[in-house]
Formats: sequence, C-alpha cells, structure tokens
Amino acid sequence: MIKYDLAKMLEEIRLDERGGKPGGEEQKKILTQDEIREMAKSRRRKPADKAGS
Amino acid sequence: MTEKRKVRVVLADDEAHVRLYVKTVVKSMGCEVVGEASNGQEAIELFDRLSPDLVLLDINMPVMDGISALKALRVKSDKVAIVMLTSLASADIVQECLDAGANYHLRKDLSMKELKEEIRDTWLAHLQDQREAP
Repeated sequence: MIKYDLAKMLEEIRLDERGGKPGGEEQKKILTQDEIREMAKSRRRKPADKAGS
Repeated sequence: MTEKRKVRVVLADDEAHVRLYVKTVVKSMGCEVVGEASNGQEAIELFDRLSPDLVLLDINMPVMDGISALKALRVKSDKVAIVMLTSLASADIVQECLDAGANYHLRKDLSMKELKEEIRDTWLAHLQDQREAP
C-alpha cells in the first residue's frame, strides 16, 4: 500500500508554481488603515487629472 | 438634491456575512442600502438600475472582480463615490484602485466604529470634491 505525504506533495506543487524558487511569500507591503488614509489624502491634495480646463 | 435625502448605497461582496456586517454599519449611519451584489457584474447592473450615491466594492469576487467593476463604473460616472473593501490591503492594489478612481480603500478588519468614521469621512470628502469640481 502506497502512503502519500500530502503535505510534502502540496509543498512540491507550490514550489513548482513558484518556478522552483523557495520561500514563496512575495514581499508585498500590506498597508494599515492609517497608511491608506495618508495615501488617499495625498492623492486628493494633488490637482485632479479630470479637472481639465 | 435635498440635504436630508438619505445616501443611497450599493454594496458588493461575495461573502454574505461581510455584506451583512457592512450593511449594518451603513444603515446605522442613516444611509439606505438600495442594492446588494455578490460580484462586480451585478454591482454594475445595480448601478445602472438604481443610480446610487455610494458603491462599496469588494476586490476579490467571482465573475467580475472589484477593480474591473471600479473601472467600468468610473467610465459611467465620476459623481458616484466608490469605496473599495479588502481583507489584505497591499500597497500596489491600493495604488491601482486610487489610480482607477476609487475614492477610498477600506480594510475589512476595522471595527464598526472605525468603519463608520471612515465611510463618513470619505463621503464628506467626496461631497466637498463635488462642490469644488468645475
């Protein structure tokens, strides 16, 4: 009877999906609500593109 | 448009419990939830039918995601306020949404009080922008 190590298989699939690179977690910066607020505010301060004439 | 008219809201999220949570918050603010959608396509259809003042859009949804819906809605109207909802607010996604014309971006893990304050502030800022628009 063949025993499958599902955790190991899953890890290998994920490794394949990453093109063989270990680690996996992309370093995407996750913003707090305060950081989002600042980002949105600074955007509002800029003259809007759509203002046109 | 009278001052006392309720703000009409369309809410789009594929998770019913999130819709219920956000709906509770929005209604407690005195707004009227005129429509609920479970994907971006439905949100656009509701927008066409109901002309809401504010659309709350989840990002990850089946059929049509929130960012595609945002872009389609902005082609239709620059007057509607659009607020994106997300569980994980990665900087590039937030930037993309703001670039595409979202008024604001809310994390779903905020408390009711915070959510209320953020939505209210966004709405007031939107009204001010509309008044200052040429």
